[in-house]
Amino acid sequence: MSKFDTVALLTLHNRLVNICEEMALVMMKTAYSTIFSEGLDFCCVILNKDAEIIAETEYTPSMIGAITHTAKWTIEEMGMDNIAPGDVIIHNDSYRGGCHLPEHMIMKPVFLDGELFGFVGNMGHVAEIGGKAPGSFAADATDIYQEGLRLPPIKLMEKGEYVKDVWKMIMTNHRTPYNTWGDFHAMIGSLQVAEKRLAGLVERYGREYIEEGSRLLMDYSARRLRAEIEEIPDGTYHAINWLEDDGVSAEMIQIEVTVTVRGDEVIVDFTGSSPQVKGPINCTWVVSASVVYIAILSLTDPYIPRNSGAFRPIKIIAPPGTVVNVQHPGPCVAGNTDSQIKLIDLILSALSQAIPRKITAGSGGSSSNFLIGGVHPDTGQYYSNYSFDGQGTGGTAFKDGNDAEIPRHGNCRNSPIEVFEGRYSLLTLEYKLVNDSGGPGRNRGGLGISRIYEVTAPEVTISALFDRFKIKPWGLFGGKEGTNSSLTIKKKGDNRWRTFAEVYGRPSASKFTNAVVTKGDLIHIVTPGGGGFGDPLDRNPELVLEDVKEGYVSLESAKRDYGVVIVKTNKMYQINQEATRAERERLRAARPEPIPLYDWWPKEGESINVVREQLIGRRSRSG
Amino acid sequence: MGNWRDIKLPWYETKILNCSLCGRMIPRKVWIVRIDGEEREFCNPDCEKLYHEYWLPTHSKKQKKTGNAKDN
Repeated sequence: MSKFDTVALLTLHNRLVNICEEMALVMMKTAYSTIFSEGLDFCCVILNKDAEIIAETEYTPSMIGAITHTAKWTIEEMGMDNIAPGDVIIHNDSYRGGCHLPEHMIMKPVFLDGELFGFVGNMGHVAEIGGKAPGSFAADATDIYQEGLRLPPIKLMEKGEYVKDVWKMIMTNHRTPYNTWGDFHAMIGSLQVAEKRLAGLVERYGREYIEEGSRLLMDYSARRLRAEIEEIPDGTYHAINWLEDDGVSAEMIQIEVTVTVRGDEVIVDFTGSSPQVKGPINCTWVVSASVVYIAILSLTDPYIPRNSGAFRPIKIIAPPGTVVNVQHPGPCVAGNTDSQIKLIDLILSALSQAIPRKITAGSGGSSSNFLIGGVHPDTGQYYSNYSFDGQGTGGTAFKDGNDAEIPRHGNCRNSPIEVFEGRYSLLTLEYKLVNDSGGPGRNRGGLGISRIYEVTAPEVTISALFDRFKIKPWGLFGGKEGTNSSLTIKKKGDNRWRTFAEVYGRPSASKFTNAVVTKGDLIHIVTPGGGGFGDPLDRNPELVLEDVKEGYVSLESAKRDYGVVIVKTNKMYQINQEATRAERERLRAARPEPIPLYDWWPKEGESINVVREQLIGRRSRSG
Repeated sequence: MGNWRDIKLPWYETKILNCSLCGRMIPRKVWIVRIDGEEREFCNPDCEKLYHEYWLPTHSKKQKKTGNAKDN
């Protein structure tokens, strides 16, 4: 008879998760770079002897889905005979079961009474790891060697002692070694805390209890997820979408998925996606696997314990040599940031045919990766920073999309202006939500942001990797599309905003590397708004009024998109009820019926390529 | 009926083996099965099972025409 009922099991779950939370706090409080301390771009886990996740923190989902694969590779390549108490192992190689190169996994075996219990591990985006661009995010890289230093599974510490040669080699190849030093120690410190806490837990409950409980927790998560998948109608659901370009050429890249639901299992098959491309938007297999876990788990009960058991009912097929499973030596730094979001949305759009009430309209779909570097005028030291901004998420059947949210695969935070300006030579002149950027709908899309920086140093090197310059986030069930993103520069003395492609002669306006800006230049970032869900003419006029008062929706959009006529008198906004009724009737009569599933999608017999051309055409028509 | 085989690679080798079904890179142990006279490499027997249950019925016609990514 098992010692565990559901309460005992979930109590153990919470204790294990608590250890992971403490690991995360250690990392946040002790890291040197803002991407850890402010961005929280990392995850912390406890793994069993087979590198299955027993517990995790809900920080960066893309890493949580990846780390079990990366850790399994590590154990298999190193061999358990070569892993001893006090060892600390590091690994970031995309071609050994890793994500993009900045994602570094550090793991430590936990031996209790001389016997291996499992591992504690974390994965974090190390902000600078060498390569052709400061910040190691080369949007025009054509092979992985331009993206930074590759580390196969090697030891940072051996039996508790520094492996000094390895540290020296790493520090020599990073532009900001002091930050790396601090961040690696933050990661190692968090592992040491976890090891201590696990030992305490085992001392209190006994090893056998924790091991059996961990097994049962994974079984429990698998059962719960299977039950949820069974609720999705059996069938095959298909979707296609595009990445706008790869930073090297202007060609659009097709991504394709077929989701097969059969009983309590789901098979996600990316066959049909484009061959891998020259630029860095390719994904490693592990990144595509994370995509699938994130998409499926985002549709199911959030209280299912997140562990490797929850992955069991999910099967993934990502053909090698395609944009979803890059082969050596293809570059892949942006696969983790921008392709990953699109692939999540792709799976959701396929499943919108099966479970429409659980799906969001199209979300922003870009991490808006923005990197700066150079020699700091105050310190004379090299510096580098990787930052991202929030976007609008799609509206859902139940609520409006979220405003200014970092994409769901990252779940990170932006850097506060005060922290950013204290460290770097960019002054923030404007940071606001973008009016009318959320796609109109019964539930409106979330809003993107607008940010203007002024360069305050003599010279700063900029790299960027954005998407959604051409294709807007789609609306769903009558909702309308959100808005595009943009990145422009006004050189000192110039009188208008221009793209970086125009000013610096780059092939892509959204993806470029090492553009040197100078004092007085202004840089304008605009992130995408989310698509709307449902017919905007069904939106409660009072909600439209609130949106107008808050500045989320303009008076013009209220009338044009929602049919709500609002008048402003003495600084007060009021709905003209009669005019609104008439306007909504007029708009309903003027539009085609029935409302399509998406605001863009092939009609019966129409080629998907026709739609692709229309999407680009729409962009050029709308300017 | 398949069997496990160890992959032994020199340190300088950059070629990596992918699973014939899921596409995952296989580190050191590969599940080898003969199908239609050809050796196929899988991560594990679960992938072999899904190859028979899902891949062949779904993709075999397409595969003959264009070759799937594994065969490229």
